[in-house]
Amino acid sequence: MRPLVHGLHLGLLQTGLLLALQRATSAAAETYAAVLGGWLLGAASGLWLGAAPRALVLLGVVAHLVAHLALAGVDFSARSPALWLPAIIAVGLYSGRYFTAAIAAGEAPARVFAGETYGFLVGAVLALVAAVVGGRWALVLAPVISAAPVLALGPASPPDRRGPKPNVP
Amino acid sequence: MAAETRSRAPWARAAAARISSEAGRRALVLALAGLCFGKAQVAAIRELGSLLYGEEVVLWLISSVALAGAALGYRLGGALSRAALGRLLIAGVLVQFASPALVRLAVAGLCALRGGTGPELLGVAVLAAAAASLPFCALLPAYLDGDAAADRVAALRVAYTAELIGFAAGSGAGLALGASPTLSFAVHALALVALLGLALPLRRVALLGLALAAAAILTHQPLGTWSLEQVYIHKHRLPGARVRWSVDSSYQRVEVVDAPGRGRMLYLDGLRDLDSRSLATLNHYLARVPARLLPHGEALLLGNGTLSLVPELAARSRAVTTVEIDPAVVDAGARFFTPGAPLDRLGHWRLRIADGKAFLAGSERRFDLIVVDLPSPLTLGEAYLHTEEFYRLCRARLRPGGALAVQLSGDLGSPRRTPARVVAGLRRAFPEVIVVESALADRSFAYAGDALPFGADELRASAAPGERELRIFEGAALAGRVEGAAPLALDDLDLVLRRGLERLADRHGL
Repeated sequence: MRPLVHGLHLGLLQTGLLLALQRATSAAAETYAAVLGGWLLGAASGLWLGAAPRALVLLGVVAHLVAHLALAGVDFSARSPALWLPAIIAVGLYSGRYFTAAIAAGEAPARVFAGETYGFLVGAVLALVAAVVGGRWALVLAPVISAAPVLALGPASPPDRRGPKPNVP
Repeated sequence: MAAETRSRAPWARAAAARISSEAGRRALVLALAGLCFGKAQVAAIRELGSLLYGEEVVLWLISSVALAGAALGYRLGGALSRAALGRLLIAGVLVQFASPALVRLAVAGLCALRGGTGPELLGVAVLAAAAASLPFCALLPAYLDGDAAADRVAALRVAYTAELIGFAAGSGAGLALGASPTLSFAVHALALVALLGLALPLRRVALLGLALAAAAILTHQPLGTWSLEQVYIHKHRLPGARVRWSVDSSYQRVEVVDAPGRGRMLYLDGLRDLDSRSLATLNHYLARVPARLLPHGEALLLGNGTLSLVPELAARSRAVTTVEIDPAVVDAGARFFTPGAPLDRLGHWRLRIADGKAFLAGSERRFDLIVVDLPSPLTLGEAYLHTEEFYRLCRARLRPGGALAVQLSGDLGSPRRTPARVVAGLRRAFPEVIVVESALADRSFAYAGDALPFGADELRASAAPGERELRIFEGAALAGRVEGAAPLALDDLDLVLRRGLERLADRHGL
């Protein structure tokens, strides 16, 4: 369940940024490249960070709000999507840090990666539906809401709640 | 061997030592797995998007299946034995070697058997999209599971960083090399062979993989073209179809097809954008008529990548600017629809490769005529340019007395359909809107402005030669035709998904 919730949150964030930038700035390939490249850079950097996971979740939400609030007030903008790269990288940091935190806590890599990816898929589809039905403000709000269970659950179960260890009578 | 080692520079010896270490080999394997995943995913989206027709819904369906395949691959990586993972990787590589001809022939064959399209095509697409990700994502957890728990985080950092770098490189290569399909395939095939060779300690498999890759690269162009023609013959029902041009841009697959009795056609992501027979009528109502009624003005063309409107507008305008987002469509247009040499001689024509809305938002220039020649809003990128907000932006860039001309995708039809909703947006943005329904063009055209310098009589007098029936709507009559139609708006684009789902279901008998 945890990886699914984290993946959903990250899917909402990444897809929301892509859709908002394509709507307001440009649907050109440069926008896709900025979001994909920025996100991957953030994720790779997050793998090597030792920062508290919850702090990076909060940083991601703040960066998300700053990025979207700069876009939500305008229908169209001539600004380059590259201007949003710092925010995209900041949002992407937790997508790397989450894996190191979960694996460090003893979670099985296959379960963590699979669950996070399924969740990401659900989050991405939800972001698309939110964008076309609810519009720009739905994209602003959705990750703020999804951050609550992410913060509450944390990246992994405390060791004593993960069930009995093998070979323990 | 010893001499070779001694002759290497110290940095090369150090690099070789690092790569030969287990951790270095793993990192390289995962970087290659990421590269193959990224490259295969881009190829699958273009290939399947074209085979299923590239509406937003289809593109999301393919991307979602690829992502679900990645998740399943991660899961299997923790569950399968090393031998089973090896077989999975070999199977995945073989599928990539056989792509895209295998998928095209499967689709063409199923269409030939059924005599049309059916739900089984979606099954083929799901398998092909999953094959683009599943085998490559199984490696990461398999490697990490083999590590002691204490070392896992350190191993994860190196391994996942390598996979992410590979994925970025593969996606970038897939997007950048789309204009050279054989080179793009060759890069992919060589990466697959390198992955096999490094991931599996079996020299025979690596050598066989290399031989198969060489055969696949050599046959890629002829087999790809032939299999694509089978798709046009059996799926699009174009007997004798010949594919003249097929490239992938960053946005879509661009294909030029000739068929007996149908002439030359441009297909974008499998959807017919135009054919040479209907081009003259389309150009007449979209450009010739407004340019004739607004002579010697400054014209802006949004879309129309084939450039077919340029000569017509240039002859009647003081200056013409074309803004098209996709250079591959411009290239196809200049090669097959509008010879480029005469255009080069037009001193008052400019081409800008840009998103139309970004161009208008960043420009203070004013135009006497803005012509919007875009496909139906079946993707979000296209839909943004059919919204009420976009038409307001166009209005702000028109000179007094100027006009906007928009091609609608069909007759006005019901208020839930695209043309009525587009016209509803135009009516919100402009005080005056006139719609012309042409039986000859089999579609409608809208003209909008603050105070249009022409009316129904002038439009009727400008009907295309051979026009069978021209119906003109304005004022109360037009309001009645689009009553109840909700304008497309940036925050209300449900039509894109709804129409996409309807079309997908209709086509596949769901």
